[in-house]
Amino acid sequence: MPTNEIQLLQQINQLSFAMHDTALYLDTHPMDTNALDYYHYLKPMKEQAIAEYTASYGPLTMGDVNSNTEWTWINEPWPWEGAGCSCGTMRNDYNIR
Amino acid sequence: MNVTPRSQNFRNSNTVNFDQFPLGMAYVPWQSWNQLYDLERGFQAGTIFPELDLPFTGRCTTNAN
Repeated sequence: MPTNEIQLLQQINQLSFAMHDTALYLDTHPMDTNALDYYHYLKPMKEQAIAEYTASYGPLTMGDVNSNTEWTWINEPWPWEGAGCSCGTMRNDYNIR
Repeated sequence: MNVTPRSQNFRNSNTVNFDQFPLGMAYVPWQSWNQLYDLERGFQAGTIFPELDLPFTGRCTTNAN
C-alpha cells in the first residue's frame, strides 16, 4: 500500500475517532459550544481527507461511490483478499454511522 | 460473640466478595470541556480527553503520560 494511502487512512481514522469521541461528549452536553466548535472544526477536515482518499484510491464506503458510469465499490480488493490491513484499517469494512 | 469488622473480612480475603462490601453511593462527576489530546495521541489512547485516559491495570488506574 502506498505511503500516501496509509497516511490518508490514518488521518481519516484519527479524525473520525476524534469526531466520535466529541459526539459522545455532545450527547450529554448538547449546548457546549466549545465541543460543538471542535466537532465542526474536524468535520470538513475529515470530509476533505475522505475526498482525497476516494479520488486516488477508490471509495471507502458505498456512500463514497461518485462515478455515474461504473459501480466502483467492487473494484478494490476486499478484506478477505488482503486489502489494506497494514495500518489496522480494513478497507471496505469502514463504517460511518 | 466474635464479630470481625466487615472491612477486615474484605482486607483479609484474596477473593472479592461483594457481600462483604459496605453500602455506598455511586456517582459520576460531570465532565467539562478542557484541553484535548492531539488527533494522533487521542486515537492511540482511545480517548481525546486526557482526564479519561485511565488505562485499567486490574487494581487501580494510572495515567500513562
